[in-house]
Amino acid sequence: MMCRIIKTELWKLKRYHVIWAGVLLMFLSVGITLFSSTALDGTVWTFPHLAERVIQNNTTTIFPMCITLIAGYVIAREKSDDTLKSIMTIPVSYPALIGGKLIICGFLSVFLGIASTAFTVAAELLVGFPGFSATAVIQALIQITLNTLFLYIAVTPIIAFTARIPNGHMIGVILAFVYGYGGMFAAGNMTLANIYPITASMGLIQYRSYDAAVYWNIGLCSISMITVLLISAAIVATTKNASSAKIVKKVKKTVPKKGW
Amino acid sequence: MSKYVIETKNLTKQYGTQKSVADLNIHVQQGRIYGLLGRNGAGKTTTMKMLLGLTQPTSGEVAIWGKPLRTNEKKLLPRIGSLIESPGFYPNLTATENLRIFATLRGVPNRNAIKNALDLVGLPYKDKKLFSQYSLGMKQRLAIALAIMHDPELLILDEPINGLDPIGIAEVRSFIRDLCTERGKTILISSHILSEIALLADDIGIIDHGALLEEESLAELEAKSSRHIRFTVSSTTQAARILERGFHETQFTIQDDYKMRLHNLDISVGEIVTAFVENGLTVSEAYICEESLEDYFKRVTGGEGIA
Repeated sequence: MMCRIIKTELWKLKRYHVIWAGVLLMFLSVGITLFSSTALDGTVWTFPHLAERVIQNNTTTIFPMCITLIAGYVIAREKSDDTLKSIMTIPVSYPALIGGKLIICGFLSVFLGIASTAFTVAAELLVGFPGFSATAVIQALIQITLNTLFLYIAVTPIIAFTARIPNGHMIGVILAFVYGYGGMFAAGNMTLANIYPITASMGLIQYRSYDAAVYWNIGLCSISMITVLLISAAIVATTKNASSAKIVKKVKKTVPKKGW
Repeated sequence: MSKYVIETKNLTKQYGTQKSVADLNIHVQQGRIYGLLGRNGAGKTTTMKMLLGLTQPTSGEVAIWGKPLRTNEKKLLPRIGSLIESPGFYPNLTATENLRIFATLRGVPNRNAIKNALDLVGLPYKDKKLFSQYSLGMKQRLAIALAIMHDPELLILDEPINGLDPIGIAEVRSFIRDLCTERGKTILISSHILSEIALLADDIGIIDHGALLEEESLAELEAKSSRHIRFTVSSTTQAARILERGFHETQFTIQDDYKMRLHNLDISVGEIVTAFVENGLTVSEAYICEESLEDYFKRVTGGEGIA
C-alpha cells in the first residue's frame, strides 16, 4: 500500500504551484548570498565559498521554513480539496497517508537541493568568482542536496506535529523558521552544533571541515538525525484520523448595530 | 448471513449536548434502493458518514453485510462506493488523472475501469480540462464516477443530484436505477427532495432532527397517503357490515372501534352516511381525504421543507 501511496502522491504534485514557491525560495537564498558578496568586508569570494554561503543561508534562513511550508500544504490539501473522505473510505489509514506524504517531501527536498545548486551555478556564471571547476560543481551539488535532505529530516517532527492541528501548517512554518535560525546560535559551540539537528545536517555533509576550528563528530550528528527520525515516526504512528478530530465551532460575535 | 446489507442499532451521534443522530435503526435490503429522506440538517450526512467510518458514533452500532463496521473496515469498505457531500478532487489535475489516483490506491484491476466510469456519467476520457475548470454538474458526475469505478456492491450516495441540470438529473436517476435492477447493486441514497426519492427508492426512511420517523416501502407509504373517505362512527364493526352487505364494498380499513377509511371514492358519501344513519349508527365525521405523498411527509415531519 505504501508504494501506491507514494506513487499517487507524486502524481498529485503535477501542476502544483506550491512547488514553484519552493523553487522561488531557493532562488531567493542564492540571491541573498549574491547580495552579501557585494559587502566590502575583505572576504575573498570563490565558487566554493559561494556554495558554502548558500548552504549557510539555506540552513539558517530559508530551507527549514520553505520545506515546512511545502509539506504543510501537501498534507493540508487533502482537507482543503476535500479529498480526505475519498481516501479514508478506500480505506487508507491516516498515518500511512501522512507517512507517504513525508517520504514524497523527502524527494522534494532533494529536488529543491538540485534547484539550489543550479541557481548557485547560474549565479557563478553571472559574477565569475574564481575556483569554478567541474569538481567544485559536483561537490556543491552533493553538499547542497544532502544538506537540504538532512535539513528536511531535521524539521519532520515539526511537520508531523503540526499536521495534527487543523490548519496548523502556518504555525509549523513559524516554528521551523525559529528552529532554523537557532542553528546560528548552536554553531557557536561545536558540541551543541553536533547535537542540534539543524547544524548536525551541516556536520553530515562535512561543511567547512577543512577549517581547523570546525570539528564535526559524524557519530553524534548521525544520532541526532536518527533521533529526529524516530520522533517523527512516533508522531506519525500516533496521529489520529483528522476527520475524527474534535469539531471546534466558531462562535459568531454579534456586531453591534451602528447608529439609530 | 444477515437479511440486511446495512443495519444500524440505536446509532447516535452527539456533538456537545446536541444529538445530530438519535437512536437510528435503519435497515437496507439487498438489491434495493433505500431513500433516506429528510430536511437539510436532519442528520442524513452524519448518518452516512457513520456508515462509512468517517465519523465515529457516540453510541450504537453499524453492521454491513451482518458484520460490525468498526472491526471490519478493511474488509467492508472496499466493497462500498460513496459520495458524501460536495465532490472533492485535486483541482490541479484532470478528471482522468484524479480517477487514476483513486484507482491506483484501490488497486482496481480493470484497466478500462476509469474509461467505463467516465463513459457512464458522460464525461470525456483523457480530457485536458482540469477539475478546477469543471462546472458543478460536471464535478458531481465525476464524484459519481469515482463512487462506481471499482464496481462496488453497495453504493452510499449523499444527495447525488445536487448541482445537476434537469437532463442530468434524469440521466443520473436512470443509471442509478439501472445499477440496481441490471447489476443488482444495493443503493442507499439521501435527498431532501421528495419527488426524487419517490421516483427512485424502493424503501424510504424519513429522518428528522436525527430521528427516524418512518421506515417503509414506497408502496406502503403511497397506500398510507392515498385518497380515501374517513368516517368516525359509533361502531366500525357494524359500519363494515353495512358496507359489505349494502354496497358490496371491501376496500376499507378499520383503524379502531370508531374510525375507518374507505378507499373506493366512486361511492357517494351521502348514500353511505344515509345507510349508516338508517341502520342506527351515529356518524360524527365523514370527509374525503386527499392527502398527497408530500402532504403526508410534511405531516410526519411536522412542518415544511421537503419539496
